Amino acid sequence: MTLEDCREDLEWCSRCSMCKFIPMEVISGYDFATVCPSIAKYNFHSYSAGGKLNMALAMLDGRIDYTDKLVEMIYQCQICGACDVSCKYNRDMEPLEALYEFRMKCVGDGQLVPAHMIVIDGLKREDNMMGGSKSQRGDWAKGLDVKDITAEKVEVYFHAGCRYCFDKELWPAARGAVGLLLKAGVDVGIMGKEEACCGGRSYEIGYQGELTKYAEHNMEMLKVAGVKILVTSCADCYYAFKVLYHKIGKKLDVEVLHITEYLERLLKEGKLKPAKKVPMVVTYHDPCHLGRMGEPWIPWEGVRTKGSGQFVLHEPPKEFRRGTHGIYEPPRNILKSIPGLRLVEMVRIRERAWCCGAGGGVIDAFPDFALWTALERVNEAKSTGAEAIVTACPWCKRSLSDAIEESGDGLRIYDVVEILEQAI
Amino acid sequence: MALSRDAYQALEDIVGADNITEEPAILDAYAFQWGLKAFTGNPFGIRYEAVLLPGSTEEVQAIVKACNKHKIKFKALSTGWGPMNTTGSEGTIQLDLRRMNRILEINEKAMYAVVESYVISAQLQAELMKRGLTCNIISAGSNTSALPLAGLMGCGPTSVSTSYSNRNILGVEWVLPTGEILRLGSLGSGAGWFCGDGPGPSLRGIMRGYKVPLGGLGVFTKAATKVYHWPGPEVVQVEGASPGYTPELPDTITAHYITFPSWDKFTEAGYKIGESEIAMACDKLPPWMLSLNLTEDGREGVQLFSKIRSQTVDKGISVLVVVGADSQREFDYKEKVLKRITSETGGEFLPLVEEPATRKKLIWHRVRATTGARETFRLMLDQGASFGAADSWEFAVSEAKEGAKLKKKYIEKGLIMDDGADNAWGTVYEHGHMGHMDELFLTDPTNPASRQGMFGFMQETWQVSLEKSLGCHQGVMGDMGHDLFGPRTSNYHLWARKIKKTFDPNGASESSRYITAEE
Ligand SMILES: Cc1cc2nc3c(=O)[nH]c(=O)nc-3n(C[C@H](O)[C@H](O)[C@H](O)COP(=O)(O)OP(=O)(O)OC[C@H]3O[C@@H](n4cnc5c(N)ncnc54)[C@H](O)[C@@H]3O)c2cc1C
Ligand code: SF4
Ligand code: SF4
Repeated sequence: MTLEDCREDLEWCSRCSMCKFIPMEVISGYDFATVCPSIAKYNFHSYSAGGKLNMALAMLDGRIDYTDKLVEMIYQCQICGACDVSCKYNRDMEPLEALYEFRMKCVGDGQLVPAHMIVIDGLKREDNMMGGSKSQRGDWAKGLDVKDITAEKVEVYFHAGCRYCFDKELWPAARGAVGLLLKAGVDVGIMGKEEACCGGRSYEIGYQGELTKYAEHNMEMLKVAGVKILVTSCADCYYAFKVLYHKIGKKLDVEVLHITEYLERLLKEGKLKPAKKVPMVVTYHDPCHLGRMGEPWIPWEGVRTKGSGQFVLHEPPKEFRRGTHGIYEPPRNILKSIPGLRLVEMVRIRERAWCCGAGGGVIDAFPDFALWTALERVNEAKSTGAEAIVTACPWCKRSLSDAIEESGDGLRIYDVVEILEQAI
Repeated sequence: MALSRDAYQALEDIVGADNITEEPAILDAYAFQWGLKAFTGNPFGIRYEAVLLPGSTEEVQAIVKACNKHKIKFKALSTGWGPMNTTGSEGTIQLDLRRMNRILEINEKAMYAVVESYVISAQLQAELMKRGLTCNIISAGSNTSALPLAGLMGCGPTSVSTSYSNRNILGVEWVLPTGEILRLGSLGSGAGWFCGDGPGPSLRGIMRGYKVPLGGLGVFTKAATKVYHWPGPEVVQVEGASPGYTPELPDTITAHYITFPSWDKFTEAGYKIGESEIAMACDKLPPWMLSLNLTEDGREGVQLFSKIRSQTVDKGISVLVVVGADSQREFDYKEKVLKRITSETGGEFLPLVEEPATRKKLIWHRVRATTGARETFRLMLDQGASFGAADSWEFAVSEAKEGAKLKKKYIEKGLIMDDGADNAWGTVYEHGHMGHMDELFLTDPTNPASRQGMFGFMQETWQVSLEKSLGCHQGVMGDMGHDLFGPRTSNYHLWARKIKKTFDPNGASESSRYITAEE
């Protein structure tokens, strides 16, 4: 696919601005009605999805050429997909695809963001997005009594992901996840320093070749290891394994589960029993890649035809991914199973959740914007009266933790796993 | 024609470097409007020279003064939906008012709200509902400005109970094209926002008139809008995920989709419903739009339309009536009256909308006005509208009748999409005194024959309006249109031009979509 393939959608953006807000039906007050961090921060229409579509069309039509500002605008966007949901509340088009393709065109045309070049160089060298050394990738699991899938056969592979492997502060959540799986008697293993990036983030910043490379590598590793289930605590990795691999024709033939899905399953089966009280009021932040972006990929190959000689219909019928079937309930069900804990919801939840700020390479290239976005979320969390914000992705946890530290208030932050651990 | 460096610097000094740009890509994002493609073959209009994001009335005023000084034209926008937001002149700067986004006051006692330009209607309505109130929202959608001076005609799904912008405007703060600030209505005498006509200057007709001046007469920075009673919950709880939300509404709010056997019966019912003051909405939502409204993708919409066609289009003319009440007794009374009117006029309820879940969904879609883009653009069609004068209900219906008659021809030739020649959207309002009806039509922008069909249809509707004195179309914009319609409509164009000259002696407020001073 290319940006040119998105032309009809670019031309048929109706400039309605729905992509700047949560769907109109769920606006419940003046506050927290916006959904796109990019336009919310930078204000010019060009920062919204609609504006980026307009600019992409201008580029295809040869009206504009690259400038530093244009590239910056394309990348001052978390690729969080919120615009896609709001647009598709009413429309049968694919704005997010166009945003991806615009980035891929940038990379193809050599229009690179310096901070991303550093990250991608690191990835090429060390197989991770964090600038860490490959040899230290397995350090997070030191001392855990867990199998190594490169040496032993296991049923379940736990993939930690680059952020967990190299962000030491976050290690307890990854270790906790493995600990819970072991406690439930799951035959689980890890890959230690042999683990490699999923390739998802590189795709999001426009390097599609890297995704293909890592998809092929990971497919091979999993095949050799003979695992049946891949579990990850990282929403980004989950999205890559489950959605992006399928999208590029590399669907994994193992079951891909986010840790919250697997833990919910174990709770239902009675293999984990949260018995201890955790007296806390918490609110839950839906990671974009687990929520709206985490719904299964729906392959479609076909053409747009004219119904009654006039309107556009997809042949064969196309089922759109509108964010309806993301992973929303498992993390909530885990939280609800914990005695003493009370879950209060923010306004922007599930498919219309506000991004944590880290996505799409923003945390690497525009850390101030990532922080600004996260601060918005922290404020929303505080408005619920919650004592803590709970999430299910290391990128979100990093971004929100930084914002909490910056804002200097007493909100606490946990991964769902860490809360469940307290109850067991 | 780039701005002179002096001019740019003067503007930058007012808003700060972060709030002004000449970046070509950004200018193109503002030059894009879907509707232009049908007319010019290009969705990009004339580029603005710069885009500015003023943050206050003072900044707007300073910009306007600088424009007068440096001989630059300016044009404001709120949310920016529609071709009227493009400029017709080189050398124009765009004032994007999105940083002016505050609800300044909600006065529950005097029942008004004061807003800036970039408060969208959904935000205002949600805040009002917390106080048992609601506002008028144009049927384009609640994603548009709540300022009663942005939406073109200003009527929407609930106008039967929430009137329309022209009537709803109370106090206004207006930066004139010269940069002076004029405060209208009670605001002008320092008495607050509660009244549009005094004590203080009442220039309602000059400021707005029949339609908004489309950016051609300065910048409206704040306005009060009248608000109305809302008999529903403080927050409408919505379950599920997009797009198939399930709203929770009390049983004392209901809706019926009623099909009448003839235009005459439909008109009679409209009058009776308006006069009896029983309806929260009396919305001629055509069957095509209803079908798209209730479905989650275009294909389903088309299928639903063919399913309900025999029960609606083939049987007569339909209207959606929403009834809401504070008590069961009031509700029973209103329902009884509606049933009586329906039976007197031979109306029939569409079973689909009698189904509780569908009904609730539809009520919320209309009260919140969420599906404007769905009903028009989902199938990648070019949406046009013709007719649309604000006049008596019977007059409005006569426009719809003419529209349907003309449209059949184009549908038969395959030039306009087959909506059963029944795609006039409109509403009765002001308790039956007034009505609005615009004939929506959908064409295929990629098909030259269809585009020609669109022009042909438009032209014929204009001609019919002129011949039969059917008033000025809502879509009439710019000198050519006004010079055509003016002589048949009380010579309003002469007055509009005088207003333009008097209020904008330097021609700073870009007015190619309004009227220019050129004779
Ligand atoms: C699908 C569809 C359905 C529609 N249905 C309706 C309808 O039911 N009723 C109706 O009235 N209109 C309708 N319209 C037209 C509608 O008025 C415009 O789409 C309008 O753009 C709504 O957006 P807005 O309120 O944010 O105004 P904008 O699009 O921002 O502005 C509209 C015009 O007003 C000017 N303007 C905006 N704000 C200011 C300001 N503060 N000071 C000075 N000038 C200003 C702009 O220059 C522009 O010319 C419809 C349009 C579409 C596309
Ligand atoms: S991208 Fe979609 S929601 Fe945004 S302006 Fe375009 S059509 Fe509207
Ligand atoms: S992906 Fe997110 S940040 Fe980017 S335009 Fe869409 S909503 Fe805005």
